Amino acid sequence: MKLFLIFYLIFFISIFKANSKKLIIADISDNKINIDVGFKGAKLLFFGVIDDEGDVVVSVTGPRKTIEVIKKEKKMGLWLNSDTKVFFDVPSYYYVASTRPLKELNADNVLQINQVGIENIRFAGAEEQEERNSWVNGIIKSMIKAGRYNPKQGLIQISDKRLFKTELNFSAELVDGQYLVDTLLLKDGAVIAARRSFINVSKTGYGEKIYKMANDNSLLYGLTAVFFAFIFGFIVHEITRRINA
Amino acid sequence: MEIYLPIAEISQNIFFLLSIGFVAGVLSGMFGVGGGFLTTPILILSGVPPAIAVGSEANHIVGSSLTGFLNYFRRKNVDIIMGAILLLGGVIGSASGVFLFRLLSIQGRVEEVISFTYILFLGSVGIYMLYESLKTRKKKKSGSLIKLHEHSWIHGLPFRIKFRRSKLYISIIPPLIISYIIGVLAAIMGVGGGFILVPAMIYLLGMSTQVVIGTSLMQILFVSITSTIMHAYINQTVDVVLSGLLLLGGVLGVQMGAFVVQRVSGEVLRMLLGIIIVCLCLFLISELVIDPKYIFILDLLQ
Repeated sequence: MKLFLIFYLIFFISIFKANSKKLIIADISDNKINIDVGFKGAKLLFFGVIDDEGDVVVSVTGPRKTIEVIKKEKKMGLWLNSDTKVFFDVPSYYYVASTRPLKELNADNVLQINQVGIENIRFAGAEEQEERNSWVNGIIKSMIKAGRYNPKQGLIQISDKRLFKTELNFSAELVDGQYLVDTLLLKDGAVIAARRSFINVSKTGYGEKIYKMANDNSLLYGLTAVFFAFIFGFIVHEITRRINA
Repeated sequence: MEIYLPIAEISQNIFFLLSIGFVAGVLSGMFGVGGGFLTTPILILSGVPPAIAVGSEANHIVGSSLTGFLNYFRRKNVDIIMGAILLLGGVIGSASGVFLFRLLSIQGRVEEVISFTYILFLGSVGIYMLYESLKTRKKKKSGSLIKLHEHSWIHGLPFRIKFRRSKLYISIIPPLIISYIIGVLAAIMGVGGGFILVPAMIYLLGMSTQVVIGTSLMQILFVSITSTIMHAYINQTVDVVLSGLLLLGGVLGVQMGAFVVQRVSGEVLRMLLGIIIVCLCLFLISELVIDPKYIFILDLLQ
């Protein structure tokens, strides 16, 4: 099956070769991630074909969210909340993999323009340039701590100079929505081909039912939560009473 | 083993949650406090969003305080009349607390007010409990007589009622005022208020430690039911998977706590609670003074 797929991809490339544009063809072992109560994170195989030699960089960006950030500052010897700012279009998830460490690619400009690499993520918010940098760095650090940004860069293997594959690692800290997988082919510090794929992350099973009820029918959800806690507390009491009696 | 919490949208270790629930259970069985003052900060530190920690904790307390309440009720260690009066004051108090909360959050000073009131109350309550219980212990050893409680002018205000279970004949005004103030604080700090209510009933009203625990559990039960429904309805911040696991962990804890209470004298119990409260207070102070690892705190909005 896999072999067939690779032949299929190479066939495609040979058709497109007529155009002088370079090409990437890529696919994911699964373009859906289902989050149920037992979700522990996911590993997906990402693979494809390139039609020219070069470095492949793959970045995964989670749905962009609005976040509220509180900054702590030391005043009179105490750490107090000094300022609150709201930032927009902040990726809720970030992961990058590459054939070589990003610094060795000699393509800092291109990586910055394409927002590849944790330090190149951009989002909207505070205006003043100088202050902005410290906030953005702080947000990225906190995101790494929360397991949403992966500071460890993944490795992409290339075989036969044309086929590449890598494992995309997802932590359990996923929000639902559409995740973008951007593949870039770099040569001599320039992008010669690009491709975007998508992964849909959604809640399923009990997790989804609970989430839906909590949001769509919140009063009933609250009453049910109290009811179950009540039943639970009562049963525990009854059991121990019988044991002790 | 990890489990995904659907409302909090993070995964947590099952055994970690079960053991937090266990500790909270022991506390509620022994001292008649919901344990929210301890578990809420721990959950927040472990990565649960603060609003969801508070909401789910309220739901957890419904279950654990019911078990504890039934236990004490069966042993006739609940003063229903006193509980009802405390509840009345508490409900009015938390309503004005919610209003005060909104006022403070407009000025952007909520968190600081919360952390300072916490430290102030925990510190003074804890230190006083330690001091008093040690003194009683000494007196008991030397064999001198101990008064059940000291009568002062506040007990003699109008509207006196007989509280049979508590062996008291006092005015209903002091319990109303105390529970009102606690209600205000509880609404601001997002806890049941048991850890202030218990010492207040012991020292200000002069009730015996055993009856205080059952009566406090009654008040906590009703307050936590109200706040669970409010949190679920208004903020959608109750995670039933999280509170269910805490409850499961608490099953053994509540029973163990209630078992210990039967075999330990009142002043030892008060001393233990005093130690826990002082420790938590020191921890909160250290949070304010020690350099934090991350000075930017994020809250993912939709």
